[in-house]
Amino acid sequence: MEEQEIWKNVLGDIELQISKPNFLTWLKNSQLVGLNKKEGVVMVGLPNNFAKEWVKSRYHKLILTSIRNLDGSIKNIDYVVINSSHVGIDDKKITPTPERGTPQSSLIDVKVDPKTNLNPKYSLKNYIVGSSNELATAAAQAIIKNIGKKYNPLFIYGGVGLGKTHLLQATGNEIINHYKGSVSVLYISSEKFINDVVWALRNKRTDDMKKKYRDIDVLIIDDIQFIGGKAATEQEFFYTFNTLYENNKQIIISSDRPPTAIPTLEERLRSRFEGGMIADITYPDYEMRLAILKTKAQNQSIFIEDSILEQIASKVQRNMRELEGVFNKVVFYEQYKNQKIDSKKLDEIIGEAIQITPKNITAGDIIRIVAEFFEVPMADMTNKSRKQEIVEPRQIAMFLMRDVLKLSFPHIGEKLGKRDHTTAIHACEKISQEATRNPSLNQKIMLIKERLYKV
Amino acid sequence: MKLIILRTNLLEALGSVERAIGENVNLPILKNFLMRASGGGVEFISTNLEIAVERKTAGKVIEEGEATIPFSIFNSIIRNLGTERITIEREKDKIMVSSDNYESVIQDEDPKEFPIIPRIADVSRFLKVKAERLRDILRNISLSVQYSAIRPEISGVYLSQLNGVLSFVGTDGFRLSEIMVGENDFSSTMEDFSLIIPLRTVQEAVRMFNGVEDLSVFTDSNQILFESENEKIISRIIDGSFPDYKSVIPKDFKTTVSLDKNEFLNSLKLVSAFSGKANDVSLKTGENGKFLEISASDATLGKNVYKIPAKVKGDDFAVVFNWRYLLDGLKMYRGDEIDFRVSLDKPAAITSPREPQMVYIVMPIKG
Repeated sequence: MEEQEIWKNVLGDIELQISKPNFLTWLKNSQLVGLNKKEGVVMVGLPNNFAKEWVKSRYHKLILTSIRNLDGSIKNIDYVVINSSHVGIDDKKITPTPERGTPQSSLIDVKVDPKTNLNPKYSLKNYIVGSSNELATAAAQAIIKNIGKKYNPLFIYGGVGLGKTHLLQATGNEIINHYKGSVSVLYISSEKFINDVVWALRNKRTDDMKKKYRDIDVLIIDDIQFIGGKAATEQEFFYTFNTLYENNKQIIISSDRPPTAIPTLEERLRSRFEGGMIADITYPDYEMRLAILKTKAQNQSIFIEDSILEQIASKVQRNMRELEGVFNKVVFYEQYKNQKIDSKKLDEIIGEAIQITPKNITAGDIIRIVAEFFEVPMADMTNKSRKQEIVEPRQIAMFLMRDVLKLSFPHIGEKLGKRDHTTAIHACEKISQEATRNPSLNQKIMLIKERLYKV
Repeated sequence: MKLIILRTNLLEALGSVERAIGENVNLPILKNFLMRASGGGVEFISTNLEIAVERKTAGKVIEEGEATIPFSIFNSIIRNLGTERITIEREKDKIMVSSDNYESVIQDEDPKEFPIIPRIADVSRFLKVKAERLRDILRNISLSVQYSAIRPEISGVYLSQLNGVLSFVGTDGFRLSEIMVGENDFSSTMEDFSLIIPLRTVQEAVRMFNGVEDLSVFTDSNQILFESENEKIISRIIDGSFPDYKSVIPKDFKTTVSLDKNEFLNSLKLVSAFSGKANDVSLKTGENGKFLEISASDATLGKNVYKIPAKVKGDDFAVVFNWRYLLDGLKMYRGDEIDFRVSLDKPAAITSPREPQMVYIVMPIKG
């Protein structure tokens, strides 16, 4: 019998013999921490000294009898205190938690380097590269070896939670490591940049600010789309950009969409962004998601069954943070609650983590967005046309209605031009099979879904 | 069990055991304390399963024995009783409390159900410190400590003995204080050790050992025991490794400002009237190194500035601090001479030339 199994049985036995409060107080958090078969000694771990003294003096006989019923070779029990990280509940009352959000610097564990704003936890080593981010990563690597000369500026764009910040920070960290600190790097979010500009204007210290930003060898700005429409900031950024660019300093920019798609961005900035290298990060495919999960498990030295990881990877498609969230939850259940995760439990966890709220999405929305995406007239989606360029969008729309809205096949057929339900069945099967084989189709579906959820 | 005890003694003992009266849904007996009468006097014991408190007091024992008495009801009886001599008697499962003209019967719980208080097996290894000194140190250090569920290892006071020096360290991640005790001020039969005492235990020890002469500290792998002549607190210690605090304390500073402690204290209190949510006040060196300028402003309230005469050695600076943190640091020192030492964007320190055994480090607020 497994050690933990033995202890479970013993506890089950004892629970019947002593009162419930006593059991909860003294034995609930006990563990079997060691079993020495040769000498017949069992080590039982208890959460504190009080429990140890109590169990030793009151329940020793009970436990010994119960354990010997299961394994006759055991002669004695040792009790030890296992110090869990548990801290007294009462301690909480003593001091209120410090107010969050104050800019008080901390003394220990300064994770983020204040000079560069880079967090060392991001590195290219733990950045997983797949077809969706290959180009962006390759460009970043080229830059590390060749600052300011190769691709300047490097403009990386992609949706939320796909790893832009990770790539940007990792590039910054690699540059620092590669040049052993002889190159000054600054990572800022565009929000911080805006704040700096506002501060400088208010305090008439624009010169200080110019100096701060223009003495840098590598400037990394995250989420640049937010400066769109803020005239003074755009202007300041434009000057900074020009100064750095003319001096062959490297500039790396990220955004959630390509420069042409930031509506409020000034023309002169847009043309400058387009002058360098533009690389996109798209949704990772199944294999990459699986690779990310496996690496995560490995890094934290946790064992999780492949079948579980595969299920997570196949079910969580939209966002890397959600993937991480589900993964962490699974780890939590397995490690701290000692619960085996089966596919039913997993579905529950995923359901909790990803609250896809198809609240406002209707069949009409799907038809409209699919039509817009493929640039075909809405009317064609529902008429009798069987032109090739309309068939695929129509099938995708059917697939999405089934996948996202869980509509019935007859209903789907009805919605898309009074078609037979078998047509809808065929379309859904075809697309879902194709999507696994054909990454570009999968990509299209992802993009459409992304637009759909933005509605 | 039967005994006669003086009300004053009883009140004192109740004051001690009150600190560890527990609230536990599963174990209601923790609301009681254990009274044990024996030849050596009367013992009072309470525990909340985190810490346990024991208190001995004098009393005339007529019949030896034990009883567990609900604290709150017993406490309110004794507080309101006018007479000095009180008789306490346990018969079967009832406790009788009586004086000349008063009598009450309280339901008792079986003393056998009361938790067994853990002991420290090896009593030959211990530390002896003057109680007043230790309380003073623990009180000062605990100001820098804050309970944190995420980081249990800094939710307590770090105590270490190394090469004949005892050091007490506390930090909440924003500031850190250290007080050292030299060889002459304590005696120890222990080998070098280090441990983390939970904040709650520290606070209770500070409150409890008031007016006591000597304190002994015993410890084993997972507990610590503070013991005076009549009182004991036993507690678990925090399992974890305290951060390498030595590396956080800067060796040198860009600027040293020497000034009067009380003036600094008062000016902080005064100026802070205008400080914002983050308790921020700015400290700036004045021209020609003759004074320190302390100011605070708030867009909706207004602003104010206070200039303290000071000797400034080193670079000029302008740094923002949380004034409460500075106050906590200043309160540690007994003398009036204070050195306030600053390097831009790095930890600042409050030290005193007269009291080199202590140091207080605090991080500035980002401007």
